[in-house]
Amino acid sequence: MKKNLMILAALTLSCFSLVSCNSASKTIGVLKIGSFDALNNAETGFVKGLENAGFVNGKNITLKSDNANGDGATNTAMAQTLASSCDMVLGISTTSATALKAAVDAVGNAIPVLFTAATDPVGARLIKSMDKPGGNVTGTSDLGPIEAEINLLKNFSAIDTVAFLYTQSESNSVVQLKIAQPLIEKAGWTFLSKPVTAANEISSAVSSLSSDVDVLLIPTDNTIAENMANVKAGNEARTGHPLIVAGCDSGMINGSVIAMGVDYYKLGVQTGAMAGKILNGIKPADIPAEYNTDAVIKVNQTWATSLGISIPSTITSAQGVEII
Amino acid sequence: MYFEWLNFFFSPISNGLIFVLLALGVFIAFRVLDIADLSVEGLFPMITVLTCYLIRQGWNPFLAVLLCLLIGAFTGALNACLSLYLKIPPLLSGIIMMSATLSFALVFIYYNGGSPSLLGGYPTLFNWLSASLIGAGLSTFWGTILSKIIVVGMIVALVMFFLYFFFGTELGLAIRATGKNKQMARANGLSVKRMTIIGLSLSSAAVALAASLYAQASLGGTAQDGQGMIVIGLSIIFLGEAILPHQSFKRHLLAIFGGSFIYWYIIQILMKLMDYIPGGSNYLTLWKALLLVLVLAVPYLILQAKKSRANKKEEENDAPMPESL
Amino acid sequence: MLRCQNLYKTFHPDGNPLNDKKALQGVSLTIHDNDFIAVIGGNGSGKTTLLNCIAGVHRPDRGSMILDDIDLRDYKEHERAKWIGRVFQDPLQGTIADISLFENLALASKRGEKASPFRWALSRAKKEEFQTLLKPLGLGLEDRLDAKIGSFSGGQRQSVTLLMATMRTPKLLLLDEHTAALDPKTAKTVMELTIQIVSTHHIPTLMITHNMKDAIAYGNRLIMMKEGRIVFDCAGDEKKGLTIETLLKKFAEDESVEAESIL
Repeated sequence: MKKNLMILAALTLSCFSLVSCNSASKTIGVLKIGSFDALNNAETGFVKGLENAGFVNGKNITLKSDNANGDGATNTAMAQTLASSCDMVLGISTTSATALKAAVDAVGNAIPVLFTAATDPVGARLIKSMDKPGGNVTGTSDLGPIEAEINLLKNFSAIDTVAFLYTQSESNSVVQLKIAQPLIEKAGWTFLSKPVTAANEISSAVSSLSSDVDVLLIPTDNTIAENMANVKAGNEARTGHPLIVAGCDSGMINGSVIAMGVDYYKLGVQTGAMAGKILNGIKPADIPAEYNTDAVIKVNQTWATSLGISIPSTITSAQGVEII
Repeated sequence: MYFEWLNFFFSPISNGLIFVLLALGVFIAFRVLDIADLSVEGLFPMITVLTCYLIRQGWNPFLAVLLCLLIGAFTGALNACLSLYLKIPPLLSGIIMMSATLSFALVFIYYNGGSPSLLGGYPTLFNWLSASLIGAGLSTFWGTILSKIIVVGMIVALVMFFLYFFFGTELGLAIRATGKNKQMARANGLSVKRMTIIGLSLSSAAVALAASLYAQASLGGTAQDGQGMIVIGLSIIFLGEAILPHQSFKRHLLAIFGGSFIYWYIIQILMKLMDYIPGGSNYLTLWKALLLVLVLAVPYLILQAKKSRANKKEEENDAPMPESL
Repeated sequence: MLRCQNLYKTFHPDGNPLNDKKALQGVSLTIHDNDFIAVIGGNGSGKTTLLNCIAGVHRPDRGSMILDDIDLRDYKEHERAKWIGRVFQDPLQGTIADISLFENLALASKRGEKASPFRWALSRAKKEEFQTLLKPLGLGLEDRLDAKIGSFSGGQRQSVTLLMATMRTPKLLLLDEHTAALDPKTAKTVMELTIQIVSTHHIPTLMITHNMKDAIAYGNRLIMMKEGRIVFDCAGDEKKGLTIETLLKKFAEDESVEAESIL
């Protein structure tokens, strides 16, 4: 037992000696809950956004990137470490941002906390409101352009039921469901909630929807975004009534008929720009939180035609539409 | 720099204390009762989400913890009954409870419109104390961390005393006996059913307590909170047993207590080392596994080396074989 | 007194009726209060099944078991433990290795009572009581109350199990080849301890043994089982006059049974 305590002590002491304190460049700590395409893109975008503002990793800033590997306890511990060792932190996902804010509050140093890929930062009580965040937190929300997408769908004729496909355990998707449901019902359509628990259920969930369902609405959901191929397969397996798949992440175009909105890379760039402003002296309380500004609308004409779905010209000839 | 080292030394203490409770719960099921109870992975998030949900609805945090404790006990009893009365293999009944509790967590998240967060001033078991400490002049850092260490520390002390005394009673001894040798237990008039139900209730209650405190310490509850919790609990138990003496029941409890801090300090060191490895924390899970193997294997290997050295010495002293044979 | 009437028990290991094992085929047996019965028989003759039915491990398909005026069928295995003490063949089975001798004895001392969360399992008074119990064994165990039973030898453990089974004088003692796993010297010690305890406390005993010498030497009655039935039952003087040759002949009377002799 003594030997082990000695080893532990030796490791600890060696950590002391390895740390170099460079107070000239600011340290920015980045914490993401796990490795997902969306979150990884956001991180890459963040670095680019900082570069655009003149801050380069290794030159005038130091970036520390941490991945919690999906483990909540690790997420908390990493947040505590970053909060106590950095000048500014970024949380990619609501869970990481929440942990960072809690950790920063616990340390009491009130360093700026940025968030990205957090769908409902006001509901998660990261900020008071999108326009006036108040406090030391601001950032970008990846809330999908649900209202805009539903308005776009109104261009299609004869829609009866809209099914909402989401991963049950993703809190952000639940947030978007609560937004989508009243909007869909107001448009005079029937709302159908279709939860899945894992990627391998997606294909059969899509193919087993009844023929009353005309549209499949997909929020910005990490698991589904990574498995659009399953959505595609499921839709193609349907006999006789293919669905108009509408995704709220423009990266979802492979497997969607229409995909609009959140481009996580661009969201990251927006966040990086905010970080740049903060480094230049502007307080986070004075920087309003943002949604994805570049609302790209992508239309997958090729797939739609192969499914036998005709897309109204009001959509295809609209502004800013990218047709594949 | 200053905060970095303070955090390095003190956050494993505050994290470690909460996880002692988790490890004790896992210990009661896996070691005392000899039951592989997988329900922890679902029970943990159900309780973290429920705790946050209740506090957001205005519940007193102390009452919320109490309710979660009772719900945890109930879950454990239900788990036991599934395997005892319906003859479902215990491993499977644990998995069934895991799914059931996880579903409840998802239901609460659905009704809350997202994972419930306790940020921004909701009352917790800790912030009344941190508020007074800070009011008395301590810095925010010290106020917050000391409030966690004191409150959780008191709860852990209470629980450990309770377990030590409980397992020294007739009922406690009976439960331990049932876990070790069911046949002998029955031959001595013990009802295996009664012992298992009480034992698993205790186990799940401890896990629920840990979860409720965890939710209030990290100010939020998500459906993913349970991921990896059994592994952490078991790692703490194995680490404690590998490094600290545990012949008597009392020592065993203390070994788990120590094991939790050892685990968290190891994680803290690992996270620091990640800064110097390319690819860093993306491989954290791999490094965690490797380090655990190291910490568990080293005492064993040292023991083996000692044994073989002692044997070699004996060989030198043995009389040589006569040539004629 | 235990009165077993017409006990039948068939085991069905799988759905195939050809593989059914008819362990007991109409066993009737009365054990009187002063009986010490040695039970012998080949493998598969039903001896252990009989013991297990009485103990409550198995439920007989048909037949009754009345202990004094208690119908055993109304009680589960652990409920019967109030009245029935057992010692198993495997020294590891009757005690718990990981806990101390003191704790094992404490468990046994509460056999039949509900384990309470409000009483300590161990106490100074109990320690003294156990020391008094252990001294007469002459094994020095009274000084090792705090040692874990895992460190004891097989003979010591069987002696302890014997003590545990008789600590709260049971109405019936069941011994399932309890010396079979011990070396001859230790086996003799344990047998003599058995006789001593049983005669001091007047406990009716049913002892399964493979050792025909023991079966003849100990006890007032001898029963031989074959294929789930009792084929031979003798007591008193007739039993005293038995020889091993007589028994072997009885064994061989049916070709379907292999005779065993551990002399």
